Amino acid sequence: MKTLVCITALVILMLTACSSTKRIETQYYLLDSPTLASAEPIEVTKSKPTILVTVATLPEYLQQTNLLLQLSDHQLHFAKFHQWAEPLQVGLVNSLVRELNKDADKNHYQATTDIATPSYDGELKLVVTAFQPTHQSQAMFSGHYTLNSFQSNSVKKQQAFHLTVPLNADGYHHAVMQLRQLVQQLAAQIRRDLIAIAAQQSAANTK
Amino acid sequence: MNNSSTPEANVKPVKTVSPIWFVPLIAVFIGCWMLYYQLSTEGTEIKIHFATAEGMEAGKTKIKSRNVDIGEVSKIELNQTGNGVIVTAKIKASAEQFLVADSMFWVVAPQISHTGVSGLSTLISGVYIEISPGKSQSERLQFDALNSPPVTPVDTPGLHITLNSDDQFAYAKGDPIIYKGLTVGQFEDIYFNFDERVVYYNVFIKAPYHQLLTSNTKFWDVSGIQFDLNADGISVKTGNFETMLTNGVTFGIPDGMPVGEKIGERSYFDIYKNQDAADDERYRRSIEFVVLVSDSIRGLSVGAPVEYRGVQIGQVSSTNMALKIADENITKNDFKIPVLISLQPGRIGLPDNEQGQRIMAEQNMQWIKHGLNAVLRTGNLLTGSLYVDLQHNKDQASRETQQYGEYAVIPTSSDNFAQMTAKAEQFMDNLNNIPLHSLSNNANHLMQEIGESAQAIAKMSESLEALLSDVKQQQVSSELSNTLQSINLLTKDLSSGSQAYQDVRTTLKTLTATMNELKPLLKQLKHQPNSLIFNNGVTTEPEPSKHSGAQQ
Repeated sequence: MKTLVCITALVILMLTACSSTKRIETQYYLLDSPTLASAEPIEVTKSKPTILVTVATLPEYLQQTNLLLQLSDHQLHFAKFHQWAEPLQVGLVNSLVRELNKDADKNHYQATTDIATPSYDGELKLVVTAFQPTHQSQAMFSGHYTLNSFQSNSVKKQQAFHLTVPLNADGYHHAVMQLRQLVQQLAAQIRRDLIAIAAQQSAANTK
Repeated sequence: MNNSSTPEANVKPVKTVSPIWFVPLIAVFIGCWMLYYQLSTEGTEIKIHFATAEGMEAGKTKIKSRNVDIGEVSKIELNQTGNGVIVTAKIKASAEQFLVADSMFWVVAPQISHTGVSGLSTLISGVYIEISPGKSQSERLQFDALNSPPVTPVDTPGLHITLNSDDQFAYAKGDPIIYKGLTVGQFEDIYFNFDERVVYYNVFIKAPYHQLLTSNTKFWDVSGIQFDLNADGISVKTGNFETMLTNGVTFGIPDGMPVGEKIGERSYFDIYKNQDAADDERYRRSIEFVVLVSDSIRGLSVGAPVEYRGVQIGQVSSTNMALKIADENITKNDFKIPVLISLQPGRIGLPDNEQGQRIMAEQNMQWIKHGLNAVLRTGNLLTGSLYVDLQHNKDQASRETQQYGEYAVIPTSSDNFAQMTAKAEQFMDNLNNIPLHSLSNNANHLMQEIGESAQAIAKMSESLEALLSDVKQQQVSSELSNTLQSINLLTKDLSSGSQAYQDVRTTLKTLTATMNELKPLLKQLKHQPNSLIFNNGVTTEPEPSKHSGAQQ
């Protein structure tokens, strides 16, 4: 009887030993989440000038599906189990468009050419140089954007930007949230710039 | 000591031999038996005379018959005069019956000739001596080896005959005898008779073709390719492929001759130059006449046909008979060239015997009296060969027959030769009278016109070429537009928004997603190949960390 108990105990021990390993699953992230508070349907008004938003350049290391962590000034780490659910370029443009359109009173922003639009009045071209969490416990978003007017066929504004927010929690999930916040900050900056341009134009017109 | 108690020894003489003596006896018996066995199986020692011992080795070179070992060379030494080699060989007792007077020995070595390649196996095994057992009853222990293997294996069924030729033919051992393209025999041996200055060839005809040979069989040469230019034109003849490269002889019975009687071994036959010469030999009887030609006989050769109304009735036997100068005096008159012709009664259906000969001679003598003339005619314009044509001159009055030595003379029809000359002269005159100067002027004019015409044709062809190229370009452009339309259709099918394009995009996206899913696994495997089985659960992957002053 004793031996039976011993064998049973041993078998149970071995089976539980097999199942004790922690299971790691790949995590997927969305930059432009439809569940965000800002993700409300945007009404397309035909009377507003339409501006096409494109990401002209994204560094090669940001075109990966893996999330990125900058470990030092010259070292990057691609997360093995944390991935973008869609290409970063798409998520970036979509989230930027969403933020821009949120308070847009004058212009309507559009991400892709899929929607049938007869013509665009201008183009916002974004060149990204960095978009990642860093070893300094902050999320970083830098690059420059260009505002082109198709009507006058001229460059209205070219502005470099370098935005950071501190990370308040560990993990990639929080880092993605902070990156999304950086997009929001950029959109706010662009809107401010546009308002300034419009003010300059109206001032010039009144003169 | 008590001697009385010791019994007396009973001594008996030994009568029998001790069994121990059987041992040496048996040993002696076994020794004798071994000696007898050795002597009885040793075989017979023979001596073979060779010209050279090339390739042979004592104790190694075998003696074989039909590739079966029957003995071995035991000793090789030079003969006393030093011009040959004596090979001593032991022949097995089982093959002693082959050692008879007409057995033949020769060395088998690799041999390459036009008749084939033989003895290749000896390249590796070394040469051996082949024996061809004879049929004689008398035993013999000394032999002279053949210098080369016999062309025909001994005991091959067939017939040996002797051919002779005093012409310029040269046949070698192994040259074929052809009959209707088949090789039915070959030359075995060549012997030149110095007295007769004739070459004799020993020839073997294989069975069953030896049955074709009869007393009326004629042999003729078919060496190489024979081009024959004669009064009948050009003819090309050859035996078979082998004789195109080597020499050969064929045979047959001339048309119209009976088959003849069967022949025995070593019968003699002549080799004729060609089939025609052989055919001509079927006529044995002939009567001879002389034709005195007052013109050139260049082109008239011995064997040239003598025809009567297109039928060959004989041939020219000689064209250079010795001239007979009357009374050995120098004469002012020119000489006539005597040409000896022989007419064969067999050719015109008369019996080929004395009776036919007589009938033909009488008939010809009769005709000569009543105007039979001989005329030299050109048989072939290309070669200029001449033949003798016999024709009747009905206007000729009866005349006496002339004699040239022992032969009757058939008069030549000099008129015909004169006519020919006259015609030739007339032709030359006509040729002279042709107005060549005006003709050349006309020709020049014509050439100029032709040149102008050629220029016009060249211009026309240029314009035609341009026209054709225009047409071609139009055709090409229409084909091009068709192709472009097809390409348009294709691009429409594949353009964005089309079903195919969407399908491709979906597929690519699915593929990308799958690859993305696989990527971590692949990376993990790359980093730790055994992680699929042994997962220690430790994940040392760095993650973004919160700011030091931050609060959760």
